[in-house]
Amino acid sequence: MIAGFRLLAGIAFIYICGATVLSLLGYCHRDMLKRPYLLFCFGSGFISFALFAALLFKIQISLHTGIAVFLGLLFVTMLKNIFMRGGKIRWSLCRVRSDDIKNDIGGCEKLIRIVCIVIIAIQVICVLIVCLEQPENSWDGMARWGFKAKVIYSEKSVYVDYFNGSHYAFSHPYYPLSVPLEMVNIYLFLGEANDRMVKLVFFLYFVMLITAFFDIVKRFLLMSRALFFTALLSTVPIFLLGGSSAATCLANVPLAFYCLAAVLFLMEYLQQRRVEIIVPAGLVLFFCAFTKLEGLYYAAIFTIGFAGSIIIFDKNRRRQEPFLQHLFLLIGTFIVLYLPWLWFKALYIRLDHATFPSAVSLGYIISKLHRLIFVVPMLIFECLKVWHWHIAWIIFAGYFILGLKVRRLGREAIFLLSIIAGAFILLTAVYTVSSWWGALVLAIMTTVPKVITVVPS
Amino acid sequence: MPIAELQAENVRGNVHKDLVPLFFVLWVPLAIILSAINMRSSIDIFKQFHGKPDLERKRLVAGALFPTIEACLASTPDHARILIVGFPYDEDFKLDYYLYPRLIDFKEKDSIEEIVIYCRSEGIEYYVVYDQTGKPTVEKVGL
Repeated sequence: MIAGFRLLAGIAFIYICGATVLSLLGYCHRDMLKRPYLLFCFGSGFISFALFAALLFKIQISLHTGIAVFLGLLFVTMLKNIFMRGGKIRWSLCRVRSDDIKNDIGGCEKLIRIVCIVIIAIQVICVLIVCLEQPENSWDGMARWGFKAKVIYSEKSVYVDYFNGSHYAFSHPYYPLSVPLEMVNIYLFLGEANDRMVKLVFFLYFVMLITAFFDIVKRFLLMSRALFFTALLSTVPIFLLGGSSAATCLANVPLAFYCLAAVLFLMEYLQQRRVEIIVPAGLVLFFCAFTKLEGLYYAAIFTIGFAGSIIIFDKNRRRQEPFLQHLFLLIGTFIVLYLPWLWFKALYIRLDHATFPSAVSLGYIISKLHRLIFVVPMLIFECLKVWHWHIAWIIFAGYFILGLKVRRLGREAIFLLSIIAGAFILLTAVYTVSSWWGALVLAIMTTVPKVITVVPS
Repeated sequence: MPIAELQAENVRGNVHKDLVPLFFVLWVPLAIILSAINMRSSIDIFKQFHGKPDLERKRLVAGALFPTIEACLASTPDHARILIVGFPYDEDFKLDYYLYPRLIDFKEKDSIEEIVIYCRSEGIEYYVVYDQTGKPTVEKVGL
């Protein structure tokens, strides 16, 4: 019972931190309760970053330190809100389309709505049951993400043998620390490393992901359509079944959530062109990169797609000049936040296989190009597996073909398409140059599900 | 999916309206099957784990890990025969540290409640459970 309260306190702490960070960034207070996923996004990201910063400077982490840091943040936010009252910039994520519920109440529409709500509710309840009842049982969750969390929680430091000892190489110490630190935060509240209770955080990542998705889709579509696409996402089997599901302590769903949030902010900028959105967007891009290795590449893909869609569509020089400044601000924010982790990784984590990407030369890539004949069909085959994706990619292909018939593609459409294309190019490139060629089929079968990250897009 | 919707909204109006019911009809049977599988699996997990002490839950989970660990260690045959797969809850960090067989070290056994090791030797599969005193108990799980 007490552990349950401690767990809830840990979860509440994430949301409170998120609200404070958003307030500091100038987010409109009255919009916060409408978008709990934003509180969760900035709360979890901030906590991970703050814990890492503390560990980097050898500050002893504890519940008291965490609360002290939060109070400091709260104080700064209050000062900002008091002294900048006159000149402060308020922003919120606007809604492009109001819900035209009245026009959307036909019998068929009602049926779609009810079926979708029931199906979403079933998935959410099932994931919750698994999270609350079953301890972590996936290899990656236990031996990699969970293991890191336990090491950091027990040692209260990142300067330990674990991060550079070859004995622990099986645990991939060079993986980014956002998810383990998120778990450490919960352990600090619980007072013990409990890999069953901590799974509630992963359940929340799943729920916040579908909430965010619904909120975004609702801007463009009727309620029943938005519910349909949300239900479609929530029933993607990769989310629900098997070793990478939302009920395991893995970084796939958290990364998918942060990526979706990044897409949300960048799309918001594409529509509104408001500089206030740039810093939060940079923060969320950092959360992506600090969650998983491929998060860094996704952040790069998002930025390139974002910049490309503006440069291609906006020929007006007057509008391009401020955009370039904003782009520098976006990249600058990201780099400032990412540098400490890069620095730590470069100086402290010295494992041979962690440096494989630096060994990839142009000659090496050319010598492996013949693999494309095998890799591309395998990727397509994997995406068509109903057991992994049901008909998500088929529906995407259907809409894509329909989209091709439309002569003019919008900025947002180009941006989203570039993300999906970028993700597949990334996967193809990784498999083509992979040193794990002998087990490539296994590699593709186990890692293609990670495209889950871009599915919400 | 919203991509085409955006295009449709921007350029051609409500083209998507015709497709959603079609996709809905295609998807609903799959969604129902998936929901049924998911519900069945969740109910099984609930029945198996609900109300049990944490240590017991961990031992139940240990069985599910065998194939994965076997696959991961397939390249290191000298390690493939004896694996730690379960550990006491309160002290699991210490055992996690020794997850790799090479690192098994009983020097710290005083702080360990018990160690469960999965062994496979000459076709016989069994757990070896070491209690706090280091005394092993063998439990066969299959032939």
